[in-house]
Amino acid sequence: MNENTSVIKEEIYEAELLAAADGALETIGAEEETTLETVERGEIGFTPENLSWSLPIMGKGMLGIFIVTSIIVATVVILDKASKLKKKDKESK
Amino acid sequence: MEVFMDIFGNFANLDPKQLIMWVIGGVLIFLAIKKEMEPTLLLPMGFGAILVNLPESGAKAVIDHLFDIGISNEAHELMPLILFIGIGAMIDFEPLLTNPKLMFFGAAAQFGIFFTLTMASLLGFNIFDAASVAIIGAADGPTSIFVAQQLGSSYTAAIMVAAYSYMALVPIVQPPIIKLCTTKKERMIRMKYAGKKVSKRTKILFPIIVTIIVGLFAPDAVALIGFLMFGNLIRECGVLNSLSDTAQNVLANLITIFLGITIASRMVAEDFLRLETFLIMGLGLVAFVFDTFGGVMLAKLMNIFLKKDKKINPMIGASGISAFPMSARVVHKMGLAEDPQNFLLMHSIGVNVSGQVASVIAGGLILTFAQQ
Repeated sequence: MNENTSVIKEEIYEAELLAAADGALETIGAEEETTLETVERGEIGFTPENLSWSLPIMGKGMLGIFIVTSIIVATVVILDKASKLKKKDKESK
Repeated sequence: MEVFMDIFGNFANLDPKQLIMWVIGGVLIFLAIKKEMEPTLLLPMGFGAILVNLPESGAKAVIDHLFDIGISNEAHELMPLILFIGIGAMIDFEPLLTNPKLMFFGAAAQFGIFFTLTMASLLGFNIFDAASVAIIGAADGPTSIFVAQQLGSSYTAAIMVAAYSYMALVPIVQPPIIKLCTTKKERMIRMKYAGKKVSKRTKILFPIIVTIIVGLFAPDAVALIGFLMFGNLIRECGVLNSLSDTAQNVLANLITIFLGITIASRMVAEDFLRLETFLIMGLGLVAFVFDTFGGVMLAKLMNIFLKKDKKINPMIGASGISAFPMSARVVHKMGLAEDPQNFLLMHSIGVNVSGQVASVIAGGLILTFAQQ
């Protein structure tokens, strides 16, 4: 009797866990769907959930622009120094 | 009665919305002629707006065709790209090359683009439209057209009108923001201009190197930066003076005539007169305000770490907005207003041309991120 009860309890527990997992998956799915819908549909109105994709773009964008700029600045500085060195070489010759 | 209907029949096809578009077209023409605000573009756009909003307009098909062969995705945004050859040939990068660190202000002044992207997303614009609207902050017409078309935005006309209107309004939009972000003492900071000479080799290699670097980081922007830098290479190489002259004048003017009137094909009343257009106009202003804010704030930040005699006048950061050369002139005039002996023009021009490059980089990055 006790063994049967514990088996039944375990089965119920497993079923509850599965149901909970399903529920969680459905919720995640629904959230993803909502975000995608908002992204694709683009209806005008206050849509704070869109910050989930726009804020990372803002961060990456500003970082990206400073990285590219830094490389250009470094290249120009090196270029300038190289041409000055050549000029000095020519003058010394 | 039948004769009367034959003559006046088309009047019945007139929609009140079309009348509103005539007024908008009239306002654009007024601003272009009377206020001399970006007349090369606002005038053709204004006239085009009237042209395509006449009932049963026979001109619409022609202008639509111009759009198809010159601006559409199928035409690979040919017109704005060719215009960039002319713009590249007009730009002298020497003030920037003498002081390369000015480029950082150009980068910081693109903050408005990314801030506006966030604001547009918050208002419910989808990722492609938000990115297209945000690029108004590039303060650069060809870049705005290119990005909006690449992303398939349905608001190209509104974006164009906003971009060119605010570019023309830079002398009105920027000064209050600059004043709000700076103290009188900061605005009076004098900056020495070294007036160094840049070698011809550096001037020739600069467009090539920038094209390669930007192309590697933002391949979607390589057409934009490539055509801009190609124009600059023609200018700086010293052996194509005649081509450089043609690119700066004839080519740029020819494309500008068609560009303005072609954009008007998207100013049909039913597509243009909607809530989104007004939101886009508002967001365009936000972009320009935060571009200015970003540039000024970087200068203020740098000043914390700089020695007293090396301090930067934070106003020059505002020139990082690409609107060339209006923004540089605004800052120069503001400097003179605070102190008649404070000449900021060469510094602000350097920042301004760096803004031109940075806005293209920002356009490329935004295209890359939005399409990911």
